[in-house]
Amino acid sequence: MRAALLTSSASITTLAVALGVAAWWIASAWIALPLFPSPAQIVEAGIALLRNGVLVKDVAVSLRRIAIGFSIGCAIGIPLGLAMGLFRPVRYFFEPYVQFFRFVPPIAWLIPAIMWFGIGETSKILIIVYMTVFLVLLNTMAGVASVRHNQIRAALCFGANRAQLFSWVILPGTMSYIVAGARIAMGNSFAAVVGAELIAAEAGLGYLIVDSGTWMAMGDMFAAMLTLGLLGIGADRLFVAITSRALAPYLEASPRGR
Amino acid sequence: MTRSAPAAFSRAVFGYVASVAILFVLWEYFSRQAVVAMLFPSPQSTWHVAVKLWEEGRLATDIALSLRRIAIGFALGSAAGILLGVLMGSFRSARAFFDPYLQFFRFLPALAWIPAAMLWLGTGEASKIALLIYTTVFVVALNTMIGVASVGRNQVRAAQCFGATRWQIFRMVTIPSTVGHMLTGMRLAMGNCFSTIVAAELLAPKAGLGYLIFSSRTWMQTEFAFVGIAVLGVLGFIIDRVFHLTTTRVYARYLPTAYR
Amino acid sequence: MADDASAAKAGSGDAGRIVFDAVEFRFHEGAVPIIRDLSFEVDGGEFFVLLGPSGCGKSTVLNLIAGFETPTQGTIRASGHPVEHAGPDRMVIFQESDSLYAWLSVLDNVAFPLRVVGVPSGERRARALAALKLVGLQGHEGKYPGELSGGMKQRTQLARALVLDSPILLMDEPFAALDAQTRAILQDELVALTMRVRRTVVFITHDIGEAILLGDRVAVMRAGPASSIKEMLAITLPRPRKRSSVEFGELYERINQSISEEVRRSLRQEDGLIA
Repeated sequence: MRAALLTSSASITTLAVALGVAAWWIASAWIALPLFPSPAQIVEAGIALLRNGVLVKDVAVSLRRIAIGFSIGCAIGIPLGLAMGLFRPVRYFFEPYVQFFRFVPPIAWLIPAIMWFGIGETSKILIIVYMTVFLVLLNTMAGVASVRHNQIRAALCFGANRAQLFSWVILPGTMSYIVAGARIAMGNSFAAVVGAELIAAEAGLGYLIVDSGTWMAMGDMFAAMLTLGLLGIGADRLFVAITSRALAPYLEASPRGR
Repeated sequence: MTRSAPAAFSRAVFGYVASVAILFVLWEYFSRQAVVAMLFPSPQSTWHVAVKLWEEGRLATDIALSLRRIAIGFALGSAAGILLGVLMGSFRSARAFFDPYLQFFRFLPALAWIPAAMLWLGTGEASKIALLIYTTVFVVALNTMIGVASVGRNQVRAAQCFGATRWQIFRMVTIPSTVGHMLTGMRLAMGNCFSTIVAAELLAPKAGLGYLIFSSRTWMQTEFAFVGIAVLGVLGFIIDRVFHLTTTRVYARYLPTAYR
Repeated sequence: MADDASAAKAGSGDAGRIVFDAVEFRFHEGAVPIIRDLSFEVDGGEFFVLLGPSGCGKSTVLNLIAGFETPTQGTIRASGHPVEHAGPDRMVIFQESDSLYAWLSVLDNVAFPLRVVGVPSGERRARALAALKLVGLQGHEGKYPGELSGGMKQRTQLARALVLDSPILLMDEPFAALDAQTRAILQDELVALTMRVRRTVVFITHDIGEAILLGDRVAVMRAGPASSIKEMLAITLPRPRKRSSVEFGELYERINQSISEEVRRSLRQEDGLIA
């Protein structure tokens, strides 16, 4: 019994994390350079940043950009994906761009975006929109293609017209793909916004990270990175919780890897 | 209403050509309207700059440098990722041990590590390759792990009937059936590598495609950025095609009717 | 293939003999037992059919003989030895051909067991080809499982199972997923095969006609849970058996009644649980 408890997954996981923190601590003590902060220093720095409001401000800025960019991206990507999946001419029209530009990393557009729109919000949001649109679009298209032919045929037997077919058969059938695409885009948004803020910004988590680096305030930098990781996990969990509750029957209908 | 295959194909080609033609026309039009012409160069101007850069040898150097960094980082990261994924897929304790790290670092993008990497490893090759390894390992490990865990139960049982040892089962059943998953992970990781290398080269510009894009701002030559972006698109497309073809050949044994 | 050797093996002494003694199986502590107090014997060389409705635990019995699961109570012996783990003396043929290796050709699949036990490649090829000939797949050895029809895949499985001369074959509804015509053809071929190459076969099915056609003895199982054998019938019809013969029909009716009784009884039980 005790042996089972010792080797259970939960205890091994706890052990792994404890070992990791311990290893970091030892390494920081051994390297003993300000460049390599210890876990304690990171936590201290984090608390200080929270206290003086800097962390909160930067998190808010980044989250705002993500929220706007993600929303716009979905608002463009989902309808476009549906249109491309349903209407061949639309697909032929947009496909060359989709197939080519999907391989251009969003961050590559940052410099042109800055030259055109300045260092402000627009350039960052644009990057997120770009990335989101592609992801959501591709997943939505795949979703439309995955609706079972027999479901469509059955509806046609019932005399459904095109609008009914779309709203009651195709859209519900595509839902789990849309959600899967949106979830991935949400996760990538964090990376995209941080990347953009690293390179050219005056506020935001990415800015905090790179600015801390300029001042060699490693504790601050890692505290910001830790915050980023936790935010990402939190957003993901929240996303799954909301969508699986609100859209539960639709997600059951066409299971797609979670 | 049946459509014949050749008709459908020419329809598609027509659509693509028309679409791209429209893009170029619009591009040309807007570039002439642009208040400051240099902000939005025309296709012609972009092409000229591209040719010039190529003839100077600069474009080739930038491409080679970026690709070299990706190749090294990707190879090392994939090897480590496959090893880790196999371990995690085969041993429950290994999975429990590494899972918290996998789950956390999934949400800590390589981009966030760039400043730290630059401070610790300098602005040269080492930091970039380290970042590429980071961005590759977890994706490949995750996919490999899923592959190992999803080996067909009856395939394993059949091997047990033949009296195969655990090692034989691992070598002759588990690994072959996981190759597809490994490739999927590697393909995803490659996308990440592109993103990471551009960002890293934008932040520590010495040479490479990211630097090319960066320098468009320094020299107020937007063409540089466009050329860089176009090259990235082409490279990404080619590499993805290679992955697609490899995966197809591997899966051809699983679903030959789908890929004939 | 060593027909004479295996014939000698299957008939003599304990070889190929299976003994279940008061076996019970549950998946874990406190779970409802799938089978309880199950006892029966299968003689060497016998074609033994386990027949019963869905959920009666027939597959569990097979998994226990194969050694994939261990009984919670009671003992199982095969060829005189207690069953501890899977091995080539008890070869399983699975219902779905998903046990075939998609990345290997038909020939390599059939030769796989020989590779495991270390037979050199020249001999492997020869023995695999011989097995393929036995199941009627000669000429198809270069194909891959993805290119095969359901019936061909099951033949491949069969060939692979025969290649180590296992004294006991365990077949888990091997023809259930095939269309009726292919099923009938494979059934006839299986009968012909077992007449030539004597093995102990434990065959699972829910198809009464199949049971009568193939079996030397048919064990009708009770509906689950905690099931055991309801009755044992010896099928004495001479081979080859005709599905259209009067005796066949009578046996069919007899067994059909017995099973319907069981199914009705279990449905009443379920109602009872709900009410």
